[in-house]
Amino acid sequence: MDLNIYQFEAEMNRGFLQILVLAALEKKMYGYMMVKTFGKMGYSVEENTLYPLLRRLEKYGLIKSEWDVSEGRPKKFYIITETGKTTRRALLNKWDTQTRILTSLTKEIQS
Amino acid sequence: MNKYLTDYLEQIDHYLSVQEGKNEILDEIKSHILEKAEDETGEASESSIKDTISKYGSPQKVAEKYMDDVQIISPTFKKYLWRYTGLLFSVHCLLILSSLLFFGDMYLFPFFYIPDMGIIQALNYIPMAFVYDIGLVGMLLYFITQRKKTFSCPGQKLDLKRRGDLRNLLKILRHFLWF
Repeated sequence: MDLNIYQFEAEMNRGFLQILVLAALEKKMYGYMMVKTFGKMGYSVEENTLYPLLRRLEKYGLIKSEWDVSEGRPKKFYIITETGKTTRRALLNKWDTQTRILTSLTKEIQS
Repeated sequence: MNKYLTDYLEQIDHYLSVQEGKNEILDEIKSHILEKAEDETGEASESSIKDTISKYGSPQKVAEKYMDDVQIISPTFKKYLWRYTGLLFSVHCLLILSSLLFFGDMYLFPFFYIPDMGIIQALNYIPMAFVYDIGLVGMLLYFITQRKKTFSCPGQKLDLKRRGDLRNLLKILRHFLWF
Protein backbone atom coordinates (compact mmCIF):
# COMPACT_ATOMS: atom_id res chain seq x y z
CA MET A 1 0.00 0.00 0.00
CA ASP A 2 1.31 3.41 -0.96
CA LEU A 3 1.16 5.54 2.16
CA ASN A 4 3.13 8.65 2.91
CA ILE A 5 3.80 10.78 5.96
CA TYR A 6 1.19 13.40 4.94
CA GLN A 7 -1.66 10.96 5.28
CA PHE A 8 -0.67 10.12 8.86
CA GLU A 9 -0.01 13.77 9.57
CA ALA A 10 -3.48 14.74 8.33
CA GLU A 11 -5.07 12.19 10.66
CA MET A 12 -3.03 13.45 13.62
CA ASN A 13 -3.78 17.08 12.82
CA ARG A 14 -7.53 16.53 12.81
CA GLY A 15 -7.64 15.89 16.55
CA PHE A 16 -4.94 18.40 17.38
CA LEU A 17 -6.66 21.22 15.49
CA GLN A 18 -9.85 20.60 17.45
CA ILE A 19 -8.09 21.11 20.79
CA LEU A 20 -6.09 24.01 19.43
CA VAL A 21 -9.23 25.84 18.29
CA LEU A 22 -10.97 25.24 21.62
CA ALA A 23 -7.90 26.56 23.43
CA ALA A 24 -7.58 29.62 21.20
CA LEU A 25 -11.22 30.58 21.42
CA GLU A 26 -10.96 31.66 25.02
CA LYS A 27 -11.10 35.07 23.39
CA LYS A 28 -13.17 36.09 20.37
CA MET A 29 -11.48 35.30 17.05
CA TYR A 30 -12.44 34.92 13.42
CA GLY A 31 -11.15 32.34 10.94
CA TYR A 32 -8.37 34.24 9.22
CA MET A 33 -7.20 35.60 12.58
CA MET A 34 -6.81 32.00 13.81
CA VAL A 35 -4.92 30.98 10.67
CA LYS A 36 -2.47 33.85 11.21
CA THR A 37 -2.13 33.28 14.96
CA PHE A 38 -1.42 29.58 14.53
CA GLY A 39 0.95 30.36 11.64
CA LYS A 40 3.00 32.69 13.85
CA MET A 41 3.25 29.88 16.40
CA GLY A 42 4.67 27.61 13.70
CA TYR A 43 1.54 25.61 12.98
CA SER A 44 0.19 25.92 9.48
CA VAL A 45 -3.55 25.31 9.11
CA GLU A 46 -5.35 24.54 5.88
CA GLU A 47 -8.03 27.20 5.65
CA ASN A 48 -10.48 24.91 3.93
CA THR A 49 -10.17 22.51 6.89
CA LEU A 50 -10.54 25.12 9.60
CA TYR A 51 -13.94 26.52 8.58
CA PRO A 52 -15.76 23.16 8.35
CA LEU A 53 -14.27 22.30 11.75
CA LEU A 54 -15.58 25.55 13.24
CA ARG A 55 -19.00 24.79 11.81
CA ARG A 56 -18.93 21.28 13.32
CA LEU A 57 -17.86 22.57 16.75
CA GLU A 58 -20.65 25.14 16.62
CA LYS A 59 -23.16 22.45 15.67
CA TYR A 60 -22.14 20.49 18.78
CA GLY A 61 -22.56 23.63 20.91
CA LEU A 62 -18.88 23.85 21.87
CA ILE A 63 -18.45 27.30 20.34
CA LYS A 64 -20.81 30.06 19.25
CA SER A 65 -20.51 32.69 16.58
CA GLU A 66 -21.71 36.13 15.62
CA TRP A 67 -21.14 38.36 12.61
CA ASP A 68 -19.39 41.65 13.20
CA VAL A 69 -20.40 44.17 10.55
CA SER A 70 -19.05 47.27 12.30
CA GLU A 71 -15.96 47.38 10.06
CA GLY A 72 -15.99 47.50 6.28
CA ARG A 73 -15.93 43.75 5.73
CA PRO A 74 -18.26 41.46 7.75
CA LYS A 75 -16.38 38.92 9.89
CA LYS A 76 -17.70 35.91 11.71
CA PHE A 77 -16.30 35.81 15.25
CA TYR A 78 -16.26 32.68 17.35
CA ILE A 79 -15.95 32.13 21.10
CA ILE A 80 -16.02 29.06 23.32
CA THR A 81 -19.20 28.17 25.25
CA GLU A 82 -19.48 26.68 28.75
CA THR A 83 -20.04 23.22 27.20
CA GLY A 84 -16.94 23.84 25.11
CA LYS A 85 -14.91 24.66 28.20
CA THR A 86 -15.95 21.42 29.89
CA THR A 87 -15.13 19.45 26.76
CA ARG A 88 -11.81 21.26 26.42
CA ARG A 89 -10.86 20.37 29.99
CA ALA A 90 -11.63 16.70 29.36
CA LEU A 91 -9.76 16.70 26.05
CA LEU A 92 -6.70 18.37 27.58
CA ASN A 93 -6.63 15.74 30.33
CA LYS A 94 -6.71 13.03 27.68
CA TRP A 95 -4.02 14.84 25.75
CA ASP A 96 -1.79 14.97 28.86
CA THR A 97 -2.22 11.26 29.44
CA GLN A 98 -1.43 10.45 25.83
CA THR A 99 1.65 12.70 25.85
CA ARG A 100 2.89 11.04 29.06
CA ILE A 101 2.46 7.57 27.57
CA LEU A 102 4.16 8.56 24.33
CA THR A 103 7.04 10.27 26.15
CA SER A 104 7.71 7.24 28.30
CA LEU A 105 7.61 4.94 25.27
CA THR A 106 9.88 7.11 23.14
CA LYS A 107 12.32 7.37 26.04
CA GLU A 108 12.54 3.59 26.02
CA ILE A 109 13.15 3.61 22.26
CA GLN A 110 15.87 6.26 22.52
CA SER A 111 17.68 4.64 25.45
CA MET B 1 -17.41 41.67 -6.60
CA ASN B 2 -14.44 40.19 -8.44
CA LYS B 3 -15.46 37.85 -11.28
CA TYR B 4 -13.09 35.03 -10.21
CA LEU B 5 -14.42 35.17 -6.69
CA THR B 6 -18.04 35.17 -7.86
CA ASP B 7 -17.39 32.16 -10.12
CA TYR B 8 -15.51 30.35 -7.35
CA LEU B 9 -18.30 30.86 -4.82
CA GLU B 10 -20.92 29.82 -7.36
CA GLN B 11 -19.05 26.58 -7.98
CA ILE B 12 -18.77 25.85 -4.26
CA ASP B 13 -22.49 26.61 -3.97
CA HIS B 14 -23.14 24.09 -6.74
CA TYR B 15 -21.29 21.25 -4.94
CA LEU B 16 -22.28 22.16 -1.39
CA SER B 17 -25.14 20.10 -0.05
CA VAL B 18 -25.90 21.15 3.53
CA GLN B 19 -29.22 21.38 5.32
CA GLU B 20 -28.81 24.98 6.45
CA GLY B 21 -26.39 27.90 6.61
CA LYS B 22 -25.20 27.65 3.01
CA ASN B 23 -25.11 31.42 2.49
CA GLU B 24 -23.23 31.89 5.73
CA ILE B 25 -20.58 29.40 4.62
CA LEU B 26 -20.14 31.23 1.32
CA ASP B 27 -20.02 34.63 3.04
CA GLU B 28 -17.33 33.39 5.40
CA ILE B 29 -15.21 32.01 2.55
CA LYS B 30 -15.64 35.27 0.64
CA SER B 31 -14.62 37.35 3.65
CA HIS B 32 -11.58 35.12 4.21
CA ILE B 33 -10.37 35.29 0.62
CA LEU B 34 -10.77 39.07 0.38
CA GLU B 35 -9.00 39.69 3.66
CA LYS B 36 -6.15 37.31 2.88
CA ALA B 37 -5.67 38.77 -0.60
CA GLU B 38 -5.56 42.28 0.87
CA ASP B 39 -3.31 41.24 3.74
CA GLU B 40 -0.72 39.59 1.55
CA THR B 41 -0.45 42.13 -1.25
CA GLY B 42 -1.84 45.35 0.21
CA GLU B 43 -4.99 45.31 -1.92
CA ALA B 44 -7.61 42.79 -3.03
CA SER B 45 -6.64 42.99 -6.70
CA GLU B 46 -7.71 40.54 -9.37
CA SER B 47 -4.38 38.70 -9.38
CA SER B 48 -4.11 38.48 -5.56
CA ILE B 49 -7.68 37.14 -5.33
CA LYS B 50 -6.91 34.61 -8.05
CA ASP B 51 -3.80 33.53 -6.19
CA THR B 52 -5.63 33.22 -2.85
CA ILE B 53 -8.40 31.19 -4.48
CA SER B 54 -5.92 28.77 -6.00
CA LYS B 55 -4.41 28.19 -2.54
CA TYR B 56 -7.84 27.71 -0.94
CA GLY B 57 -8.51 24.58 -2.99
CA SER B 58 -10.82 23.33 -5.71
CA PRO B 59 -14.54 24.10 -5.18
CA GLN B 60 -15.38 20.40 -5.07
CA LYS B 61 -12.78 19.67 -2.36
CA VAL B 62 -13.87 22.70 -0.35
CA ALA B 63 -17.52 21.59 -0.47
CA GLU B 64 -16.58 18.00 0.41
CA LYS B 65 -14.94 19.11 3.66
CA TYR B 66 -18.29 20.47 4.89
CA MET B 67 -19.91 17.12 4.22
CA ASP B 68 -17.34 14.88 5.92
CA ASP B 69 -19.87 13.49 8.37
CA VAL B 70 -22.61 12.95 5.78
CA GLN B 71 -22.93 9.35 4.61
CA ILE B 72 -25.05 8.13 1.76
CA ILE B 73 -24.58 4.45 2.57
CA SER B 74 -22.78 3.40 5.74
CA PRO B 75 -19.37 1.76 5.00
CA THR B 76 -20.44 -1.14 7.22
CA PHE B 77 -23.10 -2.04 4.61
CA LYS B 78 -20.64 -2.14 1.72
CA LYS B 79 -20.38 -5.92 1.60
CA TYR B 80 -24.17 -6.24 1.88
CA LEU B 81 -24.63 -4.08 -1.18
CA TRP B 82 -22.84 -6.72 -3.26
CA ARG B 83 -24.18 -9.69 -1.34
CA TYR B 84 -27.84 -8.70 -1.62
CA THR B 85 -27.41 -7.49 -5.19
CA GLY B 86 -25.88 -10.87 -6.02
CA LEU B 87 -28.80 -12.63 -4.39
CA LEU B 88 -31.43 -10.55 -6.17
CA PHE B 89 -29.59 -10.83 -9.46
CA SER B 90 -29.50 -14.64 -9.14
CA VAL B 91 -33.28 -14.64 -8.58
CA HIS B 92 -33.68 -12.33 -11.53
CA CYS B 93 -31.53 -14.55 -13.78
CA LEU B 94 -33.40 -17.68 -12.72
CA LEU B 95 -36.70 -15.99 -13.49
CA ILE B 96 -35.43 -14.96 -16.91
CA LEU B 97 -34.28 -18.52 -17.53
CA SER B 98 -37.63 -19.90 -16.40
CA SER B 99 -39.44 -17.43 -18.60
CA LEU B 100 -37.40 -18.67 -21.56
CA LEU B 101 -37.94 -22.35 -20.73
CA PHE B 102 -41.65 -22.16 -19.96
CA PHE B 103 -42.57 -19.43 -22.46
CA GLY B 104 -44.56 -17.43 -19.92
CA ASP B 105 -44.54 -14.32 -17.81
CA MET B 106 -42.73 -14.63 -14.49
CA TYR B 107 -43.22 -12.35 -11.56
CA LEU B 108 -42.48 -12.00 -7.88
CA PHE B 109 -44.74 -9.30 -6.60
CA PRO B 110 -43.88 -6.44 -6.18
CA PHE B 111 -40.27 -6.39 -7.36
CA PHE B 112 -39.89 -8.65 -10.36
CA TYR B 113 -41.83 -8.97 -13.55
CA ILE B 114 -40.31 -10.84 -16.47
CA PRO B 115 -42.41 -10.79 -19.62
CA ASP B 116 -42.38 -13.65 -22.06
CA MET B 117 -39.41 -12.89 -24.33
CA GLY B 118 -36.97 -14.41 -26.79
CA ILE B 119 -33.27 -15.16 -26.24
CA ILE B 120 -32.00 -11.89 -27.79
CA GLN B 121 -34.41 -9.84 -25.69
CA ALA B 122 -33.41 -11.79 -22.60
CA LEU B 123 -29.70 -11.09 -23.23
CA ASN B 124 -30.50 -7.40 -23.51
CA TYR B 125 -32.59 -7.58 -20.37
CA ILE B 126 -29.84 -9.07 -18.14
CA PRO B 127 -27.65 -5.92 -17.77
CA MET B 128 -30.78 -3.89 -17.07
CA ALA B 129 -31.78 -6.40 -14.42
CA PHE B 130 -28.40 -5.94 -12.72
CA VAL B 131 -28.77 -2.14 -12.70
CA TYR B 132 -32.27 -2.51 -11.28
CA ASP B 133 -31.09 -4.88 -8.54
CA ILE B 134 -28.13 -2.77 -7.41
CA GLY B 135 -30.39 0.29 -7.42
CA LEU B 136 -33.01 -1.42 -5.32
CA VAL B 137 -30.48 -2.68 -2.75
CA GLY B 138 -28.66 0.67 -2.74
CA MET B 139 -31.91 2.51 -2.07
CA LEU B 140 -32.78 0.17 0.78
CA LEU B 141 -29.35 0.56 2.41
CA TYR B 142 -29.55 4.33 1.89
CA PHE B 143 -32.80 4.54 3.86
CA ILE B 144 -31.37 2.33 6.62
CA THR B 145 -28.25 4.56 6.84
CA GLN B 146 -30.32 7.74 6.99
CA ARG B 147 -32.37 6.37 9.90
CA LYS B 148 -29.06 6.39 11.84
CA LYS B 149 -30.03 3.41 13.93
CA THR B 150 -27.99 0.27 14.38
CA PHE B 151 -29.25 -2.41 12.09
CA SER B 152 -28.07 -5.92 11.69
CA CYS B 153 -28.39 -7.10 8.14
CA PRO B 154 -29.88 -10.58 7.60
CA GLY B 155 -27.40 -13.14 6.34
CA GLN B 156 -24.46 -11.87 8.41
CA LYS B 157 -23.20 -15.38 9.01
CA LEU B 158 -23.91 -16.59 5.51
CA ASP B 159 -20.71 -17.82 3.90
CA LEU B 160 -21.27 -19.03 0.36
CA LYS B 161 -17.98 -20.93 0.42
CA ARG B 162 -19.47 -23.22 3.08
CA ARG B 163 -21.39 -26.04 1.42
CA GLY B 164 -24.28 -25.96 3.95
CA ASP B 165 -24.85 -22.24 3.47
CA LEU B 166 -24.85 -22.57 -0.30
CA ARG B 167 -27.41 -25.40 -0.03
CA ASN B 168 -29.63 -23.17 2.17
CA LEU B 169 -29.36 -20.35 -0.31
CA LEU B 170 -30.39 -22.66 -3.16
CA LYS B 171 -33.35 -23.82 -1.08
CA ILE B 172 -34.47 -20.18 -0.65
CA LEU B 173 -34.13 -19.56 -4.38
CA ARG B 174 -36.12 -22.73 -5.16
CA HIS B 175 -38.91 -21.51 -2.88
CA PHE B 176 -38.91 -18.19 -4.70
CA LEU B 177 -39.21 -19.90 -8.05
CA TRP B 178 -41.93 -22.23 -6.86
CA PHE B 179 -43.88 -19.16 -5.76
